[in-house]
Amino acid sequence: MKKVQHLFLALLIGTGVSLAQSGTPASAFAITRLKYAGGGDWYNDPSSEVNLLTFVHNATGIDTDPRYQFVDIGDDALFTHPFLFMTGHGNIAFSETDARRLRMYLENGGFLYADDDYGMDKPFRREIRKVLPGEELVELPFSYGLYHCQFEFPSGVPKTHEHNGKPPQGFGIFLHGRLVVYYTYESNPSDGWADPDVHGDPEDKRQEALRFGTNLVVWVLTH
Amino acid sequence: MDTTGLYDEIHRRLAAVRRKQNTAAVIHGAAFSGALFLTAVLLALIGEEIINFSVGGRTVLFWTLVLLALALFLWRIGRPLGRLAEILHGESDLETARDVGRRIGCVNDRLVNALQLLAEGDARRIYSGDLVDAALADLRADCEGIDFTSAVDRAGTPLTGRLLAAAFLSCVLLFALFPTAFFGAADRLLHFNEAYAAASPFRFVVEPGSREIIKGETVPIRVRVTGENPGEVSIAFRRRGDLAYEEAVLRADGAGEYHHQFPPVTETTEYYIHARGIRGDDYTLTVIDRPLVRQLRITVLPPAYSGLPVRRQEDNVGDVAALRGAAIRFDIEASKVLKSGEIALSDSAVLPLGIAGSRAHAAFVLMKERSYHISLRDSAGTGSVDPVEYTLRIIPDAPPAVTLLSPSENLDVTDTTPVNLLAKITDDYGFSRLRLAYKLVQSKYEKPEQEFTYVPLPLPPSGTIEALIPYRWSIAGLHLVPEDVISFYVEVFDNDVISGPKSAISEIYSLRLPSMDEVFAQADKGHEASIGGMQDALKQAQEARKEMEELTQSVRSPADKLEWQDRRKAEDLLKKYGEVKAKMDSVRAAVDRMVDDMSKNRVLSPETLEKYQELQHMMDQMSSPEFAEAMKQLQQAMQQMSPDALRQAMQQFNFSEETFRKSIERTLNLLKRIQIEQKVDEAVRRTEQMMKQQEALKENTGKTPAGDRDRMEQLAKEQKEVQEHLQSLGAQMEELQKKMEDFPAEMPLAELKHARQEMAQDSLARTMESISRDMVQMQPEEASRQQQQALASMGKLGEHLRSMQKEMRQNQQRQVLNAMRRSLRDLLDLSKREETLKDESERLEPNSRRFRDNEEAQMDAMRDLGTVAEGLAALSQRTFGVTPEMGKSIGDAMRSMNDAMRSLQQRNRAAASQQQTDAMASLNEAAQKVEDSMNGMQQGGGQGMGLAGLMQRLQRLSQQQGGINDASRNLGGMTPEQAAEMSRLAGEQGMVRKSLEQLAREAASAGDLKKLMGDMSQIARDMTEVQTDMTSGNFNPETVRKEDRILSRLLDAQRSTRERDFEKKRTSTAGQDVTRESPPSLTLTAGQEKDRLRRDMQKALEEGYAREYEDLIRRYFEILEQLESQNR
Repeated sequence: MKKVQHLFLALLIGTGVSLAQSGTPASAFAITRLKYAGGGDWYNDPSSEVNLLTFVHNATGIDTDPRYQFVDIGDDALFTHPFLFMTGHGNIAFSETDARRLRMYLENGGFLYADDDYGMDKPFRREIRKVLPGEELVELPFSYGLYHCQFEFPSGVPKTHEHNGKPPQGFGIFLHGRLVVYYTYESNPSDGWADPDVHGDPEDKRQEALRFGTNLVVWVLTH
Repeated sequence: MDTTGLYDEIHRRLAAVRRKQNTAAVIHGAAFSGALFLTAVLLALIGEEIINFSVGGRTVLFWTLVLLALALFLWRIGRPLGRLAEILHGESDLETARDVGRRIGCVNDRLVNALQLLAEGDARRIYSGDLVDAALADLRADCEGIDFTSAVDRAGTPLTGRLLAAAFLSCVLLFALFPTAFFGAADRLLHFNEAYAAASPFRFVVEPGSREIIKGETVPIRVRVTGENPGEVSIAFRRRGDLAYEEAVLRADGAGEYHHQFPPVTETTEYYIHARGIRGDDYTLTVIDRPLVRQLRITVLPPAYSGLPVRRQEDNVGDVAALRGAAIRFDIEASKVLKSGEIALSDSAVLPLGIAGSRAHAAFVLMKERSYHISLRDSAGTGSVDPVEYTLRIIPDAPPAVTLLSPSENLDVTDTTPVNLLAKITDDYGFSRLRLAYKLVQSKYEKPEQEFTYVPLPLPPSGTIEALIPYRWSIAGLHLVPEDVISFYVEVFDNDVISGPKSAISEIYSLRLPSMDEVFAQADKGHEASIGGMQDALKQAQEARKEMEELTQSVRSPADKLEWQDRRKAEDLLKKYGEVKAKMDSVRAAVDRMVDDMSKNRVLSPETLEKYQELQHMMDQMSSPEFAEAMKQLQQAMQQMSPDALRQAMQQFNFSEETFRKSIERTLNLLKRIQIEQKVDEAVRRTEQMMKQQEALKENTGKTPAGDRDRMEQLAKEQKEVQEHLQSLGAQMEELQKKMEDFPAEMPLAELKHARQEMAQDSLARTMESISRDMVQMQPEEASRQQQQALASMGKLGEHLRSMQKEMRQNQQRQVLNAMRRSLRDLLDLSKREETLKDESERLEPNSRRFRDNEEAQMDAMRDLGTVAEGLAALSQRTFGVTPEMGKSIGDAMRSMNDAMRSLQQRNRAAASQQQTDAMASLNEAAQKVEDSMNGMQQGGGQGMGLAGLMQRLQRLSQQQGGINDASRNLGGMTPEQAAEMSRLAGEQGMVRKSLEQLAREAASAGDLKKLMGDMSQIARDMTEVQTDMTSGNFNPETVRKEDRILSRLLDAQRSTRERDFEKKRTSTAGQDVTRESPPSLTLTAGQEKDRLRRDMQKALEEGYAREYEDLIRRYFEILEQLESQNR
């Protein structure tokens, strides 16, 4: 009987801890890191999403869940995440199944934001073509609503981090008129979302990147 | 002949007379009766019309006329007719003979007599038979040639005929002239027993009365009234076939006439006029159906180049606006079957229509603006009238436009670096050609070119109307020499194949290849400005430091109050530091520009370039967040006017300021050293360039035909230039020597002096002078010989300089490594001493006298550590190998030592021991960092770990990992041998992991190389897992995937570093804002919408507006497009 009591107590305590940890309501908006194969460091800068979601909440009042969480493409939970984020420096490899699942995800209301943290451009372009064959990444004009929906970005995506000294570019893929994939190249806003000591970006650059990330979230939530 | 025969003959001849008489009587009687009857009828009608008889009167009149007609017929026609038909008894032969005798003189009574003789049967009895015969024979003889019928009287017949004709004509005439009246009277007379209203007191004279009209014609009706004033006059009308009439009141004019206008009459219409209940005559407007265009359908086929779709205009819209060259097709449906038709153009051209029943068609190509109309002719030959005139208008195809977005100004280039062009091209329908045009406009050696050379540029896909065209223009093929100027532009042609492609050119820019002297002079200027700027900044910082010390002094004591002057001083201080910071920022920008230029012009060796980049990175770190934060806190403290807060902020600021100031000093010293390296690079580069020029000159001299004076003089001129370069080199080496003398211990001064001496001894300048002279004097052999000699001397000089460069680097590295090795040794010694002290501290009794000894020993150690720190600080002025991380570890050690001393003073053994342990750990950490840095320097061959070293080591790791991956997969089942091999591979994997971790640590201690490599921790974890799988014999597909991931990541890291190595900013830095033009509006998502807008715009333009309105329309649609884009 005592054993049962102990077990019950343990369960109770465990549940309590679990409830305390999940204090944020399930409806809160979250960003989920996409775990991909191929060798690239999909996991870098885990503080990025946390900081961005906190900023978004403070700036807009949107109910956010500022946690670092990730999902594998093969995971069934993929379809419960409205906003996927992928980044890295290296290679990406989507298997045929991965590509098919990701396509299904995007066709059914999902959104993917990819940020080239340097060296991801070629593999990303190659792999996203596998996901959405026939759809091209088109550079969004500065007048596109994403750049103006919350904060003003008259020159499009900001230049948060230097890579090759090229102008920053924001590309999109649309399905039935909806932006389903957004890709930033030579811009790297997610570096600006990371903790200040990670990349040592000036504060104004970080704030700019966070404001841009807010626009991205607002745009995805409203379109 | 006997008597009987004679009688028969007479009888026959008399019977013929009677027949003729009766016939004449019938004719005459008919004419007479007709004339009389018609006259009577006319009289009766006139009477009726005038008198308007009552029913009784008309009955009498009618029956009178009937009786008259009957009587006349019976009497004047029936009687002779009956006689003729021998129904009635006519005349006897005697009577006829009497008539004949009466009319024919020669016959007289003889015929009667003869008849009587013959008729009286007893005449022979009375008279002599012979006499009778003789009389008859005479008669016969006399009458034989006489036509008895001529005795018939016809004299009255012509007269009665004329009477009849007159009566008939009168009748016709009266009926024609007064049809209403006479027909009305006749009608009433015929219907004698019906009552009729009284005769109208007025009459209508209607024009046009009845007539034929063209379908759709409007018909005016004019009514004149005779007789009484009718008052209101109306018209009643109906379409043929309708039962009911419509009514309209006629409009009277001043002249007593009444008017009405029928609207376009499309069907035959009957009408009459009436007033006061009196109805006028009935009239009919009979519609003649002319052919007309019932439906006009125009199809416009725009020229293929426009890419516009075939457009069908709305039905019956005949005005056409289309691009020149558009095919216009007409499909016409006429109101009736056609025989022929044509389209008549305003310039007299006629286009016959193809006819098929009531349909017609034609097509032609629109080449000029005109008007036209369509003429049709039906199968009866009736033509269409009043055709509509339509216009044919040409929509202008606007010329294309091109703008060069990059470069957007004249630029200096290097001879091989491609120029990145970015052109924006726009047109309304597309492009056919795009080209780059360039020509040499200025050169020291070549004549300027008259004509442009063209290079075709890639075109966007067909149908694109706006595009950004990037083009990497390789100018290496232009063989530019310094100071050559090329003028260039981009030209675009639209795809108008009808009128011929129109073109537009961009702005014309020039590119120039600066001379090496210019590049180096610019670099010198940059250096001087940077060093000057830094010295100024340092001076300012030192002055500010003094002020800060004074301020610190004034607020030192807690009792001190903060005066407003202190606040003012603090404000001034902050302002000064702000200025220093701004100055350093501008120095940073100047260094960036300088490095960029030198890097672009490839005048730096990779080693020197790397150092510059390290320097740039160091300058970036100078404006550290800590310093900014300290300034901010100081500012806040001033605002609070709190002495405590200010004091605290001052302490913090003091520390940050010192770091900042020392950074300036370090940067300045490093820049001076790098400048020397750059100068050495410059000397080497100048020598190489000079040799290249000299070799080319020698070759050209050898090739120059004997006696070609002009060419030789040209070559002599070029030789002079080489000589001038030599002089510049001499001056530059002299300057280099002066700069090296500032660092005599580090710099290879002896080598440099030696090189300069050799240059002087070889009298290279004199040799060149002599070469020029020989060339002018047309002695090419001698010139060639001396050129060879000059080349040898230059080669020797180059060797010296390269050797000096190498020695300088090795020397620097050796010195730095030695110094670091000493520091390392000292740090390790100190660590051991600290360990000893810690052990001793642990053994101390609470009341031991050795606390003091230990404290003193700790103080010595701390002093020695200070010496090591100073040594490293001094070394940091010469190398990037000493990193802030080392300083931090030493700082930690010093802090722990200080704390330990305090603890020893307080006889706190445990705390002292712990703090000494901490100090030892920090010392070991510092030593580790120094060692890592030394390893990096040795392996990378540079001053720090460097990219080269990182690359090499990553490459080695990749190779090792590749080997492990291959080997592990080739192991099939798990025999004991294979298991052993797998175990060996696991060990190897472990070594690779350790190497990677070591590399990551070194990269971290080398500053921002960490970022370059990315996060290696996951890879290290993967490696551990692979190692575990191998060891446990659980080598599975997931292990293979992990292996692949490891290798891929290692290769990617390598590639990333390699890619960065080619860039001027290899380091990870915050982004610089870039201004550029927006990408074009979306075409993929908004394609349909854009197409729709474009179609609408096209349609609007086809409406035929004036040019200025067309511009407005275009602008309007552009704005709509922009709004659409924004809304998406």
